[in-house]
Amino acid sequence: MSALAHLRYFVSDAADEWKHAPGPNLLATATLAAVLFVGAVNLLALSNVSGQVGRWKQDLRVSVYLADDAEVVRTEELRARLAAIPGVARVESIDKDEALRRFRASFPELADVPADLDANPLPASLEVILEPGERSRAAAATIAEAARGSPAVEEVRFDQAFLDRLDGILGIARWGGGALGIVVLAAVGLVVAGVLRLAVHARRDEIEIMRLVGASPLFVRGPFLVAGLVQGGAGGLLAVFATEALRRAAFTYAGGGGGWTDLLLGRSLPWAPSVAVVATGAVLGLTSAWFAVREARGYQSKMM
Amino acid sequence: MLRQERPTAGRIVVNGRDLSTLSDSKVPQHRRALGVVFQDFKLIRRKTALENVAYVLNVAGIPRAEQKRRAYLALRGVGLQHRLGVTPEVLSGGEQQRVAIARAVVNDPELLIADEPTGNLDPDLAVEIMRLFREVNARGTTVVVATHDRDLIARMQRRTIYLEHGRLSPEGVPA
Repeated sequence: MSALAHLRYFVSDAADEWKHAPGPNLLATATLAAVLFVGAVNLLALSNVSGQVGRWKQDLRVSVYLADDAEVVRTEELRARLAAIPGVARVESIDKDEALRRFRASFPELADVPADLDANPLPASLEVILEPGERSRAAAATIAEAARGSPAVEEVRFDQAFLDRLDGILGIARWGGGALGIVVLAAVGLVVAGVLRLAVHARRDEIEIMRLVGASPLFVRGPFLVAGLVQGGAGGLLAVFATEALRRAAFTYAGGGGGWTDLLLGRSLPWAPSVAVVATGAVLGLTSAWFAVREARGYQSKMM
Repeated sequence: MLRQERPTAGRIVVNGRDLSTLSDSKVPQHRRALGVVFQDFKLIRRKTALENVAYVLNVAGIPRAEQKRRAYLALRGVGLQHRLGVTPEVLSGGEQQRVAIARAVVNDPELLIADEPTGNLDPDLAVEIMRLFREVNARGTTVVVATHDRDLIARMQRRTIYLEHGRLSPEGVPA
């Protein structure tokens, strides 16, 4: 019998088993889907936060706040000096009016506060936009040093340190989540193996007959392994769809994007992690089925 | 004889194979060369009569179309050509045993082993089943029947080996 014919038999027998005993098969699929869903939601949050940090890094800038009494000549001189530093993409001048407009756009609920004051309290600034990549770190330090030396400068702000810390936390979350994920998957593997063991046990008479008429161990186990693979893959697919449904529901509940919803759930789970979730489910299902079906060796009655 | 257990002493040779030295990996191959009929029929409940018979050929790697053709012929041989598509629970005890016999002979084995094949059947059906075994034997297959039914043994008028407390008695003489 060719490998293809074997596979066709395994698939048709597994499908037949689903039709005849959907209960244990659905239970195994649902258990896998539930665990993979938790993993997929974590992956979704991680990928969104990582993506956002990456975008912030692409838009890395140093804000050089100018003193109110800074002379235009000195400011222009500073601007030219900063623009010449390697790693600087461009330098934008933000005057006090533009700073006020941006403040009102960013904090609409506080838009009236500056109007209560006699004068615009916000300083003019130079926004130094950096090129993405490692070169920016060195450039940021040079900019901060160069700017602080100028009498036209009041304050320099640079968010790289914050982004680096966030990156570090994300790294820990990835490793910690990965390690925790392995432990959880192993535990769930045992649970699913238990559920599949029930399915194998329910067919012990059939397995015994298969062995008595000369079926090889591969022939007996094949349908169970295929069923485990399909259950795991189906569980993974369900988890991915449920994660997307949760993301959309969260957006609807939050009344659209913005804030934490955007940060954690702004974009759908990318293709690569989605495929990884489905593949993990399939491998978990297959492994669990393999452990479960090993018990089938004992199903044999005595005669003659 | 099916090599469910390995002999602790002596030798058992079936179809030229010494079961005391037969490795586990060769057991499926050994069993495929035999036909077996059980007291409790041992039919797969979720498969139809035709599928149960064809399963042995499937295990042996026979192409699908050939499986169906030979399974049909085997079921016709035991008079069940009208019950091909039904599952065992719909069949009577006698019909189930006839399906089991069809399954045992479908592979044209040199040796057919029947373990108490009439144990769950009424006397008339038992005679009918034994008649089928005679037909199988007439086609060249050696048939070994294990039974406690001395009347049946007397009616069959065939070579008889008595087994008492695990030991063979002289041929033809009850211990």
